[in-house]
Amino acid sequence: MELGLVLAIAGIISVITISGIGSAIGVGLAGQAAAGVISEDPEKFGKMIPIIALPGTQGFYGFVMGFLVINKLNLLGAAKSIPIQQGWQLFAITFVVSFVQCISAIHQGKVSVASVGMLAKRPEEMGKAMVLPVFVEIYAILGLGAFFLLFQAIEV
Amino acid sequence: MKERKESPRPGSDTRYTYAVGRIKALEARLISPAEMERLLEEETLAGAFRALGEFSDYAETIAAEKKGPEEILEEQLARAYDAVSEFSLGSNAIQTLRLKYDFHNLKVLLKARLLGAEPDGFSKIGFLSLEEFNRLLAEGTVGGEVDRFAAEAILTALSEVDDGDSLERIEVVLDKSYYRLFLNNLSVNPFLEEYARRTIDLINLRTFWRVQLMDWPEERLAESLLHGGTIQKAFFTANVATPIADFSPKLTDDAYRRILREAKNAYQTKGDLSVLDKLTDDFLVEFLRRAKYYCFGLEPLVGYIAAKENEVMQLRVILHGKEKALLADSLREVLRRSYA
Amino acid sequence: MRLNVNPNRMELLKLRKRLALAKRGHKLLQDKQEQLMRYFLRFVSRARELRKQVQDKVDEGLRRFELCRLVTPEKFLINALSHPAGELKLKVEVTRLLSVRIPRLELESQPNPFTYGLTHTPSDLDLSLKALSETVPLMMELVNVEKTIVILSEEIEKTRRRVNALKFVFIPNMVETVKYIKMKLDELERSNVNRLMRLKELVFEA
Repeated sequence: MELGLVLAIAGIISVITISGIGSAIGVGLAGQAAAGVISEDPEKFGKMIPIIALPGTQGFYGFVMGFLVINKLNLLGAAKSIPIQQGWQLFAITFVVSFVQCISAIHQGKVSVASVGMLAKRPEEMGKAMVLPVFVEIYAILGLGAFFLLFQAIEV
Repeated sequence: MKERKESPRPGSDTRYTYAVGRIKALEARLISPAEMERLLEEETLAGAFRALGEFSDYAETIAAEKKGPEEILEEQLARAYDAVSEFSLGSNAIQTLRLKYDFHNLKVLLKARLLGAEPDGFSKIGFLSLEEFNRLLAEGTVGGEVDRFAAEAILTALSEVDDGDSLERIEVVLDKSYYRLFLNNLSVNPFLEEYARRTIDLINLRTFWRVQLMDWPEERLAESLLHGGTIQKAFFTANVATPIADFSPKLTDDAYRRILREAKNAYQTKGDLSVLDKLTDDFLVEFLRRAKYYCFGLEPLVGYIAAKENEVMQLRVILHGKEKALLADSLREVLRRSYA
Repeated sequence: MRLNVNPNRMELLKLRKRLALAKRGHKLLQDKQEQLMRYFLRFVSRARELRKQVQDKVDEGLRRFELCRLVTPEKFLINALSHPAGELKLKVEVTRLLSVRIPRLELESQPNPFTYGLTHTPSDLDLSLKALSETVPLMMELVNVEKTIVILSEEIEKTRRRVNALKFVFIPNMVETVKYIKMKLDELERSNVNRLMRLKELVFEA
């Protein structure tokens, strides 16, 4: 296999795992806090679900990005061979974006914990509790958007 | 249990995330200031009891059987400590808070033994039951089912008490022993360490004033002062003859100055020190209230325990006050600030 | 009422002596009664004063204690208060006032209640216990004064009964008896004279 393809595959793996790690940490934090609240007050389970799920989106984005690259290179069929420059380009955009995803997921997890605490005290403020982690989500989406633009620009 | 390394940054320890979630849910059940006010407005003790029984935390205890206010409050505190230790991952800081009651029990038992009397005032909140305590004192080693952490702390404290010590000396030695442990175990991060140091400061300030007011000998001050506050012990002993009015400006901490000034004014007009106690308690609650905004770490746990102690204290004021048919206004004067 | 005595000169002399004694005794007892009364009034006002002091101190102590009760767990208070150092020692002695025996309690030593640590006790506890333990010597004094009042009032009662008995019974009785004996004697004298005169008449006639 040529080096270009190796680089692209390394990019795919990194974006999926690094984003996944971030989401796992974020969801883990939010899940723990929510479990604490639910064990005292099981009725709050329904309200907690979206908040726990929010930090999980980054891992999903990572998977989407990885899948786009896989598709572009037709890795599932007869893999295209690409030159080294394109390989570096694909590696760069996937690898760098994965950090936005990872770090935003961890911080979103922390905000979610705070929102869980808020919901425990004021169950009626569901909307506000949702909005706060969504602010962090914006940066994950921006990262995804930037990836998409650059991804379109790379000709294979 | 394995020794756990606590995170040095306040509000950053993610191991307690589950615990914090539970704490947030428990905090939602604390009696709010408005509800406290409603209890205060009840005319009779029976009415206050009925109103209190509407709160989920208290309903069970009150409905169970006819108990006096003291028993209900004690049971409430014991339950809060149980709940928190259930998810505090064996944190020494949290256990130390509860240990206060074991040290109280140790005092009770030692004094009873010294005087050959029946122990009176044994608290049920501590880790060890009366039998466990007696066995521990008789055998002198940690064994069986007793809580290791508590038993070891008690035996260490016990080794500091001499056989010939007077009642007063026992109290002083055990108090000092406890607060050394308190500072030591709470110093897991700067926030809790400051809380511990300030707790010690305020106790020392009260001791200083009390010794002065009662004209007790200087040695009693030197003996009773606790180590580890932000204000050095030497500062107190050097100023033992300085009247409070001149003493408070010498303090560098604004908050302490304000507490002493307000308490002094109250003492001059009403002639009692209840305001001093109230202001020092309020200061600590206010300090810990910041812990409410931490989402990670031990701080919210410590905060919740302090909040529960505070709530029980408020209820004690109200229930005893109603029993003695005191006026709501005079109760309001001693009522502590709410954490909730 | 006349005493039941033989109306003769010897009794008369004896009675007169007793009468003089009774009169002097009466005067002395009256003086004593007055003196007792004066003491009695003085002690009563002292007792009133002391009682007010004790009441004020107890009120103050209890008011402060109530404040402590409000804010301290009961068991902490029990621990702080259950073992004072030293004991209350009293000495009883008997004093005399106007030859009346009055017992007196003397406070020899008082327990020191301040054996508790200062960390978990409310600040007001010191002042409360101070006020309450200051009442103990005052109460002792009050006990002494009130006991004195009781004994004095009994003594006054007794003295007054004696004075009255002397004044209204003994002395009038004796005075009456003296008068009676005198009358009897005079009558005896007169009948004697009469008899002599009669005898003389008979002698002259014969």
